[in-house]
Amino acid sequence: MKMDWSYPVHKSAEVERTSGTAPVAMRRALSREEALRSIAGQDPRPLLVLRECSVCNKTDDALLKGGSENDRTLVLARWFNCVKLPLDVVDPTHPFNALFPNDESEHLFLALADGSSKIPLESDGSRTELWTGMSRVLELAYEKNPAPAYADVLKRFTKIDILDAKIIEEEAKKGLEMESLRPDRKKVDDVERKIADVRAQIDAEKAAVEKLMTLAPRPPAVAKPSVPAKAAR
Amino acid sequence: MDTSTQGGRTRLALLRIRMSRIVAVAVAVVVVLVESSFALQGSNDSKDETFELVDPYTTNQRTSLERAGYVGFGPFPLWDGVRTSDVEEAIGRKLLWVETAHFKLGTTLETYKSAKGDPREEKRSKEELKRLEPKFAKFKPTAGKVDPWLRLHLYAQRLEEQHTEFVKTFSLTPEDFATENEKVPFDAPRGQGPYLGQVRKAVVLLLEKQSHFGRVNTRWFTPVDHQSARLRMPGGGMLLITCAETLVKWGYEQDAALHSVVAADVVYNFVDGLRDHGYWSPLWFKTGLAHIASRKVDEKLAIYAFRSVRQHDTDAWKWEPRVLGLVANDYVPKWAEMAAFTSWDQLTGPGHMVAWSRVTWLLGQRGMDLKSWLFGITEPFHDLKGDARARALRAREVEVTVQVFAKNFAEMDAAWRRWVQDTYKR
Repeated sequence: MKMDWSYPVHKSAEVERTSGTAPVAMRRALSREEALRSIAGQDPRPLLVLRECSVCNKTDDALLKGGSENDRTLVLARWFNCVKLPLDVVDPTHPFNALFPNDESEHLFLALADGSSKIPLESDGSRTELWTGMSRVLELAYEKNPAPAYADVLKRFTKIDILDAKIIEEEAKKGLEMESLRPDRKKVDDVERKIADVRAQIDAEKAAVEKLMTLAPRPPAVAKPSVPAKAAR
Repeated sequence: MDTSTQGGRTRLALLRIRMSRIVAVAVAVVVVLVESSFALQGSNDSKDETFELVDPYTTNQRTSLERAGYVGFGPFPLWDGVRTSDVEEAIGRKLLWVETAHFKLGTTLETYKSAKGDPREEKRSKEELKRLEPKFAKFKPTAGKVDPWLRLHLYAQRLEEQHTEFVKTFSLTPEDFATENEKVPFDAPRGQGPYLGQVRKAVVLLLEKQSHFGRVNTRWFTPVDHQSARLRMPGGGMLLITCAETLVKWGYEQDAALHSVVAADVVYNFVDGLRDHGYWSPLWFKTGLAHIASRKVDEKLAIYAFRSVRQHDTDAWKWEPRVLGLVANDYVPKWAEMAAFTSWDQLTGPGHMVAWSRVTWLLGQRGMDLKSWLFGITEPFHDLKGDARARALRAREVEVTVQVFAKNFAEMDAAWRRWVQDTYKR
C-alpha cells in the first residue's frame, strides 16, 4: 500500500495548437472555485491537497512520518482524492495559486470535493490532528464514516501482502524444480495447485477490501462551513 | 505496503515492504545490489537541484554542439502542439534538453553520486566517459559525481549508441524509409518519415520525481502507476517517459538500473514504432530484444524480467544454466505458443528467459535476412483493426519465419533447443 497521488495540471482551453510554433496562452491564476473544480475533476471523494516544499520534496514525509501509525494514514487516505501540487504553486501566476497563495500558506489541507469544510494542516502537526481532521471530513463526505473500518481494511491488506509473498515463494520453488537436473513433476504440479489456491484467496481478499472501500457519498447539502486554521492545529 | 519514504520504517511496514509483490522482488534484487553499490539516484538534498543554464561541456557554442553531434539544446517542438516549454510549465521546473540525430531528450535528473568501491560501476563509467570525451573540447568530469549536464550527455550517447546498434543488427538503411517531407500514403510500406519510418524523432523524458512523471502523463496522456510510459505521440513518433524516483523506491538506486530500464524501453519503442505500425509486434520478440539491451547494461539488472528473480538466490541472473534446465526438462513454451502471447501475464519468469534466449539465438543466425524478418513481423496492416489485424500479423509471422529461416515454428523450436543444449553450460 502506498499513497496514490494525482498530479493535476490545468489545461488552458483557449489555445489548441496543432504545430509547435503557434502562440501560447499566458499562464494565469484561476479563482479558488475554478482551481478546486480543476483539481477535483469528476472525482467525488473529499480532497487531501498537498503542496510540495523544499523540505518534504521527493518524499511523502508531510504525511508519513515513520512508524506503524503510517498504516492508519495510508488507509484513511484511500477514501480521499490525494492531490500533490508543485513547488511553484505559490507563484502568483500558477493556475492553482489560489489554493496556496504564498510561502506562508498551510502545507496541506483537507476538504470536501467542492472545497468546503476545509481543514488546513501543517506537516509538523501531530498524527492525532491529522487523523481527527481526516475522520471529520470523511464523516461529512460519506453516508457512513469509513474511518472505523480502517482496522479491518488494514488486516486484509496485510493478508494480501502475505499471500503475495507466498506466491513469490511458491513460484521460486516451482522454478527451481523446473530447472533442476531431476525435476519432480508431481512436486511441480502440487506447487501449481498451491499457487492457484493462493491466487483465489487474494482475489477474495481484494473483493472484500473493495467492498469495504466503496461507500456512498453524502449529498452535498450536508457540507459544513470551513474550520478555522488555528482550530485545526 | 510501500512506505518507502525517508521517515522511519516500522517492523510492520518493513514486513509489508518485504512482502508486497513488487517490493519483494526489489528486495530480492537488493541482495545483488548490496554486493555492487550503495550509490544513489540523484542527490540526497531534498531541494530541487538548480541546473546550470549553460552547459559546461559545450558552453552552448555552435562548433562544440556540432562536434558533439547535437542539433541543439532547445527550445524545440516535441509532438503535435507541444513544445519543450509546455513540458516545463506542466512539471513546474526547468528541464535540460538536447536534440541529437535521432532523439529529442529532456531530463530533470539531478546529480548522481556513485559510491567508491563498486568495480562494475567504475568500469562501466570509465568506458562510457572514454567514449564521450572526444565529443568535447573541454572534458574534465568530477570523479564519482555525474552532474545533470553530464547525465544528459551520457544518456544522449547511450540512446544514439542503441539506435546505431539496432540499425546495424537489422541492416537498416535510409532507403528503407520515407525521406524527410516526402509525401507518402498513410499505409506506405516505407512508413511516413526518415526516423525508422516515422515523421518525428523519438522523444525521451527522463524524470527525477514521480510528480514530474505524473504531471506529464496527466497533462497529455493517461496517469499510470508505473515507472515508465511508452506512447505513440500525437502526430507520430514514439515517446518514452521514465521516472527515477519510482525505481529508487523499488530499491534500485544505481544509475545503471535507470539505464537498463531506458535501454529496454527504447528497444520496445524502436520495434513498436517501426514504420508507425503501432504496438502490434510480437510480445516475445520485442521483450527478448529488450532484455538483451537491458542485460548489456548490466546482466543483473533485467528489471522487466522481475518474475525471473528469486529471493536469496544471488545467481538467479545467470540465465543460461536456468534456460538449459528448462529445456532439458521440457518446461518451456513451444515456439508457436510463445508467438501467440499477447499479455505480460503469459510471460512467466521462465517465459522471459526463454524469450531472451530465443531472440539471442535468432540474431546469431549467420547470413539470415533479419531485416525482412523484422519488417515482416511489424507489417503495419493499417487497413485492419483489432482481432483481424492480430490474426493477419500472426499469419505474417508464420510466413516470414519460413521465408527468412526456411523453418516452420516447430523446426525453429527444435533448432533453438539444440543450440541451447550445445551452447549453455550448467
